[in-house]
Amino acid sequence: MNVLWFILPLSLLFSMVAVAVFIKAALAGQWDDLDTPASKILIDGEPIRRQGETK
Amino acid sequence: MSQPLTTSLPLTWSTGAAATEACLHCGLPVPAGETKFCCPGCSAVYAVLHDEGLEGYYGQNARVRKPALLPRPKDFTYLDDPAFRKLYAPGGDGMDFYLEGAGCAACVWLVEKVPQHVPGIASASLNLGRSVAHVKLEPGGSFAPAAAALERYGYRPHAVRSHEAHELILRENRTSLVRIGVAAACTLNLMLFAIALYAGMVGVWERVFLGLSLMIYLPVALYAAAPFYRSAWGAARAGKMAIDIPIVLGLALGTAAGVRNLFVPGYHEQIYFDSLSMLVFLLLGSRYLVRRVQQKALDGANLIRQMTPPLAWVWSAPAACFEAVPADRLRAGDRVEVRPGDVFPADGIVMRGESEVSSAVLTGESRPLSIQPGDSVLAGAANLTGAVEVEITAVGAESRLGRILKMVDEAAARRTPASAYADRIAGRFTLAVLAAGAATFGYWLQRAGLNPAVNHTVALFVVTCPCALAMSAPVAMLVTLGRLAKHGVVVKGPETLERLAVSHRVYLDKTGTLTEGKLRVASWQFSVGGADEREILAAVRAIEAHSRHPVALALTSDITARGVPAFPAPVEVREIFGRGVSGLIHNVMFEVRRAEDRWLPRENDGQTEVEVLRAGHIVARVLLADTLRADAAPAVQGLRAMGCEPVILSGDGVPAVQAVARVLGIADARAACSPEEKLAVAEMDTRCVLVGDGANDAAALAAASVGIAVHGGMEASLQAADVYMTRPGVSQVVVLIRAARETMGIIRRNLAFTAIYNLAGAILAVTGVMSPLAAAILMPLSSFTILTSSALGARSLR
Repeated sequence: MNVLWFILPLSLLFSMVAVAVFIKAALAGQWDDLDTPASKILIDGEPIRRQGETK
Repeated sequence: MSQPLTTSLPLTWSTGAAATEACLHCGLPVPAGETKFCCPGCSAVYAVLHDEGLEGYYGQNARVRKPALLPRPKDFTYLDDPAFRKLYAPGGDGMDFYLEGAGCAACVWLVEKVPQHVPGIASASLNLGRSVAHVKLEPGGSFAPAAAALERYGYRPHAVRSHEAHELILRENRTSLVRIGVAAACTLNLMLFAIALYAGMVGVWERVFLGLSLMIYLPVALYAAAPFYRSAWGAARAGKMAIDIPIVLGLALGTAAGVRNLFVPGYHEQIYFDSLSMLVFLLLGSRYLVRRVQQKALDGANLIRQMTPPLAWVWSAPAACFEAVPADRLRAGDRVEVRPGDVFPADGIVMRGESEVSSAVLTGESRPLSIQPGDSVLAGAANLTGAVEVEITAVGAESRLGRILKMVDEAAARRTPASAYADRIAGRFTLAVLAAGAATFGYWLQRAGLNPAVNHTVALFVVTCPCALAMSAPVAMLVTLGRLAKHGVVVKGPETLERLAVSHRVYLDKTGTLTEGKLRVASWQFSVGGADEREILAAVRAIEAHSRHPVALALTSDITARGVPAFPAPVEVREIFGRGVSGLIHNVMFEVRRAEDRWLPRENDGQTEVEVLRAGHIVARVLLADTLRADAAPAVQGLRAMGCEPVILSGDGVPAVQAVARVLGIADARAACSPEEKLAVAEMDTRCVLVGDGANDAAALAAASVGIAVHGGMEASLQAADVYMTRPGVSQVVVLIRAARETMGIIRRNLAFTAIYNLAGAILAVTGVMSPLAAAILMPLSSFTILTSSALGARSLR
């Protein structure tokens, strides 16, 4: 049971860090637009062009 | 018509035969043969994308997307005018543009490529949900080339004024999200400690966990739940009952009792922090979701208001020519040139030129009016046939249109706000709970003493806390609103669904709502012994090719659909004032004019009769009518089947309205209604639905219990209405009313569940059997039952 003295504060710390990150992201507007990011994952990247290759 | 763009690709498009291939740009069906595109717009954009090396667009997941209109080279230099930029780009280097026709992932890709192809642009990004692109400049850059590029790619860009209301909404959403995040984190941690405590934790750890529970609960009680306190206080101060009041009651009592019990020996277990925290989280979460859906609907209507007003061509003495100026900068006394196809920007008097104008959006009158110098014209009317110079007499709020819009605002302000269903129930509910609480307290006080009495009463308040009740209506409506939006019906607020469900009469506009809103050829009659039919058709088409008059458009589209090849351009096309056009083809005089009996247009059943003359002899007669929409008849039947009586309320003339009423079997049809008359009808009938599109409907739409604006309507109508349909047709009204009634059914079912759970919980609490563990199980159970029942949603929309 003694291990709880160590784990409890640690897990609470983790929780607080997670909440802090969430708050920072929310206030920065990460969740303002919920539609566009869902479509952006469908976009293909640019084909990599190697030396001497033509497309 | 405008100059066709010159490209190396074929500019042919469909002639109406059976479809077998897909347009190379947008994918819509196109008849087999040489044709590769469905319209000039698609072929032009295809050419531009290939010329600029952007054919990757087609490799991305492009959905069917027709360009808004044929892209025309437009003058966007007004975007960089310092006064304009101050209003529309307050940050200095960024401007928002609403893009017509932006709808898929490929559009996002295309917009983001703009900086690579246009110098001076730092970045461009598209918000898909709003169809708004944000363009950021490099130092020294200008907006005009970016707007021109977007226009070339097939999106018509409209600069949007950055609205403080939108910024406020964003900020409010972010704060809500933070509260939800805090509530969620705290709830999860509290549940963790609670499980240990329920399992029988003893000793020093029990005290530690209890202390931690209190600490972790504090952010929820003091920060996350703050909106409930504020709204409950607001309602209480106004003397009104709201669902938030019993919620706050339960929260406050539960918190106070919990804190107290921590220090009372023997009652350490009677704390409800985990249940209360979960309650706060679920309520915040459901309200956030409902608000986001609502905002999306409102945003669409608001965007229209924030867009640049159309340009007007004002005579500028120093430049000795007509200059493009945003229409809201016009003043009385200015001289404007209004070309065929444009809309009159303000009230005025014609100084030069003759034309026919259509006031359909203002008055519902479908027949165009002839104007000549000395006649007055109204803002909002469409100029059809000839360019005219107008001296402005009344602008903005002074014009007839402005006064109609003011009527709209006044009608909207006069309407009593409807109270939400849950708020109405709140009163009776709170009373019942308070009564039960008093009884419980009294009973246990005399039976076992103060502490048991307090705790059993608190248990009662916590377990009957109306989490499920507060969620039942909003979540059910949320699901319905979202599904309706997918069907193209945008409902601005949940209360509208309640009012739709109880409506008993539907007032339908005629022009543009029940009918297509444009003339179509009903029949051709060729005189025996007259000229060759195809020669006549070709001649008519050649003469009417450049007119925007409804008759001309109907004739040319009908003749084109029959596959008649175009005639060489006629010489000397002249207008027969007020009647039609004439032209010389191969030295033979052709006339196309309205048939008249003694200067009055002949009417057959509301149809317009047009005669074609060749060298003075009538060789053909055409009957044109505004055709009924295909879905009008089934929609009217559907409305009647649901117990909603359809009534026609139109600004158009009696014969046309009677004809439509007869076909649809509608007994009550009122014609020649002015906007004021429509408003009076809407205000008198308190349970009606009004469906319309033009400015003449806007005030009535604002005043009606439920106002529905139809696709293609004026901005004023879209703003004023509670519902707007993004697809043409009246059949959606039937879908909407049915969905509203089913949603109210679901809400009643949810309330039944809530009642059962609350009753069960209350019995447990009153008899003293309720433990915090039981509460922790019962409350989420009831909430999730409601959520599942609502998520299934209206059967007709599945």
